Parts: sequence; structure tokens; C-alpha cells
Amino acid sequence: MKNGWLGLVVLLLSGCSTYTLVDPGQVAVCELYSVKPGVQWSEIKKGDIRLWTVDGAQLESIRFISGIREGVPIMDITEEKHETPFRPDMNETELVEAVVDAFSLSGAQQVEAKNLRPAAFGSVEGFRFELEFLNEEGLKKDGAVIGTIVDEALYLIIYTGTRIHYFPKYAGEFEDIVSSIRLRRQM
Amino acid sequence: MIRIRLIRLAALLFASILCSCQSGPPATGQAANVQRGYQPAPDTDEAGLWLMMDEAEQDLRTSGKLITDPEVNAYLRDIICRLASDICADVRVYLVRIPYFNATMAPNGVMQVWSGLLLRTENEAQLAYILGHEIAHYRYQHSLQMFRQAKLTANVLAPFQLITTAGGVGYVGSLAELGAVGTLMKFSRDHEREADDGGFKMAVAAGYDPHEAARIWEGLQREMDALEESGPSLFLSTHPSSGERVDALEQRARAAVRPAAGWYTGGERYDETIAPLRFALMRDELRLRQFPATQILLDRAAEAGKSVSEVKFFQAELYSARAEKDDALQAEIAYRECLQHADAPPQAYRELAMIYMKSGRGKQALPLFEAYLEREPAAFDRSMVEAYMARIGAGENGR
Repeated sequence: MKNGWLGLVVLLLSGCSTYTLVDPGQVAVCELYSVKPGVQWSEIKKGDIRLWTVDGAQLESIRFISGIREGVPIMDITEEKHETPFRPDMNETELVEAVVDAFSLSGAQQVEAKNLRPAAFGSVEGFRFELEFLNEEGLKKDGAVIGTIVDEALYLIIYTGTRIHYFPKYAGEFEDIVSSIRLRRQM
Repeated sequence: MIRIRLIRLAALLFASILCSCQSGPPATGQAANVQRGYQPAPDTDEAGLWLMMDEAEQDLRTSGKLITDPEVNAYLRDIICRLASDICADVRVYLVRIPYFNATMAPNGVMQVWSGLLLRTENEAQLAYILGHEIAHYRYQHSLQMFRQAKLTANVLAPFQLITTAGGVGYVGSLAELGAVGTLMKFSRDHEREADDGGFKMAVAAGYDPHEAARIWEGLQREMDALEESGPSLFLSTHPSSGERVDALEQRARAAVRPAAGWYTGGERYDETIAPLRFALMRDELRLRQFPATQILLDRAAEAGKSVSEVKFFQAELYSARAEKDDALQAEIAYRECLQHADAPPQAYRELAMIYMKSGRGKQALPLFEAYLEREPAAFDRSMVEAYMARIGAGENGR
């Protein structure tokens, strides 16, 4: 199974992909949960990843990575063998390292994770941390990641944007989306 | 805009890589000898090449890939000036965070040192032989000769196109594409010999132990052999056998006249200066998941007497990342061995605690978590670790 979020960004940039609009209101992200965005987002899907953006994926985006099973690269960025495959017994620190590794492999520089902590993912236990990094041109970007493991599958929501303007612009919306996570089945 | 920037950087990389220390190609050319303050005449193709390189350097200066640690950068500049005091003001060195063994020299004096090189040189003398090799490329204007040769063969644009197509996925992808440039690179082997010769003379004149020059290539050969066992790699496909190079360098080392003060190796100075970077560089190395090559690096670090706790820690990290067969048990053993040393990194306490927690040994994990937080009070995962400790304290098993 290939997720390829970088490939997804490339598709977006190349204009070869199909955008769909996501209107405000309850949206089923995957079989596990739904969220309720407050603004209209543009969405592109590839495999287990849905990417939402308003101003362009290079400026800000929310990536929903859903249902990653054992042996599958967590973010599957370069489709090379370098990426860390997911294991259901990974602890939160290992998952953070895997995400940091994936960002680094995609060309992000000086990727630093901050404040890993327990956090609710809807009604289940999860974790959350923040990211700081530079893109290849040295532009500062920020990120926030929330995730959980349910039934031995990994679920991540990753919000990133340029430190100047775009990350702060939708940070409130991201928090509202995280707060709106509703599980679609009984746990 | 981004594409223009990528093309410029690719141009710099291309012009530089023709003269990288990796080896390469033959042309001829009696060595020119650049003097201090050299500038090409304005109406020449060389001036055009410099202009392009200068623009690329502007982009390099703001690149997120630069390692800006002032002490390490000053150290590199110091070695360059020890090697070539006459032209060191014209050489501008940039330490670039790319986890592969390489250094490059552009015609306008821009030297790139890739961070993977600093994990593979064991002391200042080894580093000096590599930097000397690159300075020789500059002194003898090899990249200009290569540029003209490439123009003659009408291939000059092809490498630019190959390099820029991979720009979006970073240097790891670019490197894969660069393999395709090999046919062009094959014709500078004479330049490499000339740079080996020039660099060797500079390093010997500066008092650096000439026996260290061959050690670099021996180490690389071991990595290549290890990677060969696990399948073909870019490194193998683009890097020629280093056996001939080792023999030639050892022969020259035996013939070198030992100075009255003895040879300088600079192991301690090297270790002290590079130490603040090593942890991050080893992380970059592990990220490549080229475990056989990383194992050789760890073996070499142990043989060279590097920090035992660091070697044990990254040995454990390698086992954890590889996660095959009995790696989990091996990782536990290596973390324990690491923690026998007073200078063990704080992360070793956390990692061993995690292993205990995963395997239902929560009570054994607790004091290790405490030791981790005591040594790393501002740990990025403090809240998570405290949550683990609370769960263990409540009779649960962490997570």
C-alpha cells in the first residue's frame, strides 16, 4: 500500500489532480472518525491520505493519514526503502522519530519535535506534539501533529504551514477540527 | 522562482561534483595554478561560469541545509588555511547537511563539505587530506577544464537537466539522479590523480600524518563491501574501487620525510570540535536505513577509540530501527552496556525504560524514566514520560 503524500503534493502542483471542495460541516475522514471543518477546504486524496489546503499545499495543509498497518511506511514520502515502517508496538517517542525522519527525508531541514504529550483523539487516548522545521530554501515552517493507534492501525492528523502568516491563519481552524473528532464506531 | 533557485543550486552542484572527492574522470590539461585573488577576465567563458556559480552561492547561503555551527565552520576554515595559506581567503567553505561522504569544489572557490564526510573521517589529518584534495581542484582549475570539455562533447546541458528533475525530493533523490551523470564524470580521472597529488603535498607540508590519507579510503571500501552484501547501491555504482588509491597513498606515505616535531593527527581537536554535531549526524545516518554501512561506521568508531557510550547507544539504536530477528534483545543489551558509562546520553535511560515497559517490566522502567527526566529536565517528551510513570505507578503497564 502506498500513501505517498509527497507524490500527492506533486500531483497538486502539476495540475494533474482532481480537487474537490470540502464544505463546512460533518465530514467522514475514514472508517474510524469524522471531523467538522468550519471553512471550505480544497481536498486531494491518494491512498490512505487526504490533504486539505486553502491557499496551496506549500503554504498550509492538513494531512489525514489513516489506518496505517504493520510494515507500511508511516508517511511513505519518497517511496524509497529509507522510511520507517509502522509497528503496532511503537511507543509515542518512536512515532515522533518516525514522523521527524519522514519530514527530513522529504527535504525538510532542522526538524525539531516539541512538547510530546498525551492528548485525546476524539474519545480515545492519543498523543500530540508540535514541529518546527525549515523547507529546503530555508523558509521557517511550523507543524502540529495529533495521532492515535486503534486496533493496531495508526491514525495521524498533521497540520503544517509557513511560520509567517499561513500557519497562524488556520491554527484556530485546525484546533476546532481536532476538537470536533468524532469516532464513527464504538470502541 | 523555486525552479530558478533549484537550477542555480544544481549548476553549482554540477560544476562542483565534477571535482568532488568521490573520484572521477580524466581529462588532461597541464595544471594551471590559481594565484591569490584570482578573477577570470570578464569577456571569457570562465567569467560566465563564475557568474552562474556566484548566483548559486547566493542561494546556498540561505539554504536550510547549511550547518551554521560557528566553531565547526571556523575549524574547517582553519584547516583550509593551514593547507593553503596563499589562497585560503578565496575559498569559501559551506558545511551542508547531507548524510553522504562527499566534498565538492566549484570554480569560483565554493567548497561544499557534506556532513556524512565528518562521520567518516576519524581525525583532523584525514579531514585535511580530503580538503587538500578539493583545494587542489580549485588551484588547478579542474572544473573549468571539465566545463570546457563538456561543452566540446555537447553534453553540458544533460547533467543540469538530470539534476534539476530531482530537485523536489531533496538531495537524496538528487543523488540517485546524479548516478546518471556518471558517463560524463568518467573522463576526469586524471584530474583526480592530480588533486590527490596536490592535496597530499599540501597536507604533508602542513605536517599532517600522511599515513592517515589511506585510512579514509580503506574505511569507505569496508562500507562498500558491506553494502555489496545487501544489494547494489548508488555508492557502488558511482564510486570506483579505492584499492589502487590506498596502495598509492601508502607508498607515498612511506616515502614522506617525517618532520622533526613528528606528524600531526589531531584526533582530540577533531573529536572536541565535531562532538556537538555527532549525535545529529548519526541520527541522519540511521535515517538512511543502510544498516550494513552504518554498522561499519560504528565498528570503525569503536576501533578508533571514540566514546564507548556513544557507540553503544547508536548500536542499540541501529538494532531498534532494524527490528529484525533478535534485534530487540540485542538493543536491550546494548542500551544496558551504554548505561554502564557515566557519560551515557540521557536518551539511553528512556529507551531502555521503553523496552522494559513494552515487555511488562514496568517497575524496572520507573527508575530509568526518573533518571532520564533528571538528566534532561527540559525533555521534549517530558509530559508523555510523566504519563507513562503515572500509569505504571497506578498498576498499569505504561501504554
